[in-house]
Amino acid sequence: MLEIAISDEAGVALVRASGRIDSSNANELGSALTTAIDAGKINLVLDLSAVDYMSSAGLRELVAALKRVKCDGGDLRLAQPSKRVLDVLTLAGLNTIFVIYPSQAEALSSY
Amino acid sequence: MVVSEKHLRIAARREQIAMAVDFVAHQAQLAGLDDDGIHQCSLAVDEACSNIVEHGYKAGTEQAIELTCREEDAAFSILIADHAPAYNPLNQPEPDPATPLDQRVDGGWGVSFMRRLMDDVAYQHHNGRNILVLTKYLDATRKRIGVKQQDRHLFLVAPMGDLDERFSQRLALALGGEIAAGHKYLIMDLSGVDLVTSGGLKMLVSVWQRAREQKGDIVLAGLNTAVQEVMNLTGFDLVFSIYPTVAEAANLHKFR
Repeated sequence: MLEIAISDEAGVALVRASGRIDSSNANELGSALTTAIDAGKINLVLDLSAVDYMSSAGLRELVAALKRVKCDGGDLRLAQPSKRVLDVLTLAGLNTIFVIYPSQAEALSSY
Repeated sequence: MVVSEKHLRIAARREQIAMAVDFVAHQAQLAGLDDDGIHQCSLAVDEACSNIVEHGYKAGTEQAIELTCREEDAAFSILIADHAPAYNPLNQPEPDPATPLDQRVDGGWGVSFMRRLMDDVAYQHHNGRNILVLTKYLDATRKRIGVKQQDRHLFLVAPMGDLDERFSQRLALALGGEIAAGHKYLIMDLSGVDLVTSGGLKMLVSVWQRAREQKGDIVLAGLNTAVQEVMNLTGFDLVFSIYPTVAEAANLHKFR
């Protein structure tokens, strides 16, 4: 089960996901990120605090979105990933590619 | 020695992968892997199945993935088999994590994940099937059950740690195996056990009943004060023969 909420926080698109992200639903995350980007947002924060499991399918969506916003001079920053998600990010070497913040507030105000 | 072998067959569809992951996670838990080990096995199986779904079978064909979880003394193995055209995923080159973002090619993570998550990853092609074997070696901390032969007919089991729900499930498996193998006279040395939960009590009763069905017996020894109190409160001290030490249990109890 995956739930995604998108909101606008002073021009920054905040995407909050909760649940489990695997190859059966990673495209939903991708769609949410794409929706925000298509609406003109180039600064994104993805709050992962409520995601208890993410496989490489989820990582692919993150990387695809990051590439897109970087092209336009923006960024996709990650907020408060759980230990499990941080493990997966580290395994893929993405912990140095994404900027990761310990809280949603810090991620949002980093822009 | 194979302690347990369980099978699951799923359709090679993305929506079914979670079922395979849950199956493997549960078997890994029963095999005594810690939370990290269980998560690693889950991720590895997720990747393997995703690769088969994405790349293995041609679109539009309804095919299956067969999973086997095998627990042996020193290893927990996951076998993932499919009937797609022969393909060895281990031949893929590993992506370099140091690759800068704009040069990264999507995909190919699955195999590097599996190699990093598991202790061993092997591939065979056999009987028209691709078989991927993912293995986690089980270390000494898992051998907290310690079954020893006390004398010709008597066996000693000395579990280490709290008899919580999870450990009790593993003990039940292990002891069930002992009884089935004919080792029906057992002394459970509980001196290494600080705490017995209701799951632990249920397990003790159930294995005791199994032993009795085979005309065997299980007695308890080395209970600390807290555990003895639990036995007294629950009336289990009327069901089980309880001795202060293993030696007394071995010398004094009439097993047959």
